[in-house]
Amino acid sequence: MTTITPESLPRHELLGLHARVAADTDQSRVGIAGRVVDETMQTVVLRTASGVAQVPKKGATFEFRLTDEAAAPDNGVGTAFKPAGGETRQTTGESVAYVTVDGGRLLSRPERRSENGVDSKWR
Amino acid sequence: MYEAVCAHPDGDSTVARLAATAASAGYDGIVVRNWGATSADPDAVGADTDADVVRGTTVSVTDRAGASERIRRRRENAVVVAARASSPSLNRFVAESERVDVLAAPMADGGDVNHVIVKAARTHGVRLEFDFAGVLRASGGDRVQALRGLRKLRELVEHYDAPFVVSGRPASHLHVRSPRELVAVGAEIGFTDAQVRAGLREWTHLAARNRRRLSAEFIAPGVKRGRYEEDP
Repeated sequence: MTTITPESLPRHELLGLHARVAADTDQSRVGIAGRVVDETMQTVVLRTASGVAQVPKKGATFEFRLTDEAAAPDNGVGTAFKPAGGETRQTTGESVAYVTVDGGRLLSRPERRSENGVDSKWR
Repeated sequence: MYEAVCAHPDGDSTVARLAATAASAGYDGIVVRNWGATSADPDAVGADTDADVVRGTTVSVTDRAGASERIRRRRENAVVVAARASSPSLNRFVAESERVDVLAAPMADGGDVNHVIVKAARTHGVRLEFDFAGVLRASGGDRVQALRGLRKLRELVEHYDAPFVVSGRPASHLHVRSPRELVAVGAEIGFTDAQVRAGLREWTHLAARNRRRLSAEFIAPGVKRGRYEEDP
């Protein structure tokens, strides 16, 4: 499996990652959190404690949580971040990385998103 | 509002002196736009004074071949990158360089702008500079040329709604003019009050935006490391 880093996340497969809607133009969606179970061109589907929520990418700001595989006792050293599971998954504080992504950056068909080039900071 | 200054050795005054003068004139800070290094570290001076001192640089663009690499290298260290070109075709090259923040004094030294350059600057987010140095400190034919250049640039910028900055380009603390003085001079030569103030505020915006981009949290526009923080 390809390693997922904060830099590669906007071009990476999102399914399986833990995400939280940190901000949204629709206030009622703020706080929806859970594992990403599906993604379409315009939306992300999250499995929350109370069911499945389909959140439009446009207007939302997502906070993705990545955990370090190396933190788990049964894994070797040198592995990068891998998708974090639900809230119950045991992680140590240092091994968790958060990435905040503007939903507009993810507006693309999932399979096409991976083909986006690396953006310059200054564009 | 910030003022973009040339400090020692390019100018006559030190960074600290310029910062103190700018602060007393009513600026929030200064952008140090030297061609090369300054004799004092801008970041260290900024910590000691009231005014915010922004590390900037000016790149001299005399040929396309080397300029791109020079801009790329300076971009790594400087918060604000200005570029000064020596001909209309090089002005266009700078206006199309996305790594450059400001096209400095585009009308000076035989430079010229046209609708192509102004539209390119708008597309690529390069700010055109209204350089008041010639109006404030030149006389005779030089001042007439500076005024003519500013008028042409202003008409094009207004027509195409291009981004711009305003500066008196002080090279000494004695050259520093307060915002309201620049507004008054601007009013005499055809600028509106709001235009001059917007041009001075644009330096503030550039410094804040670029500091955010140079920080370790920033990955790409819209993507950053770390948890979500509410914008203040």
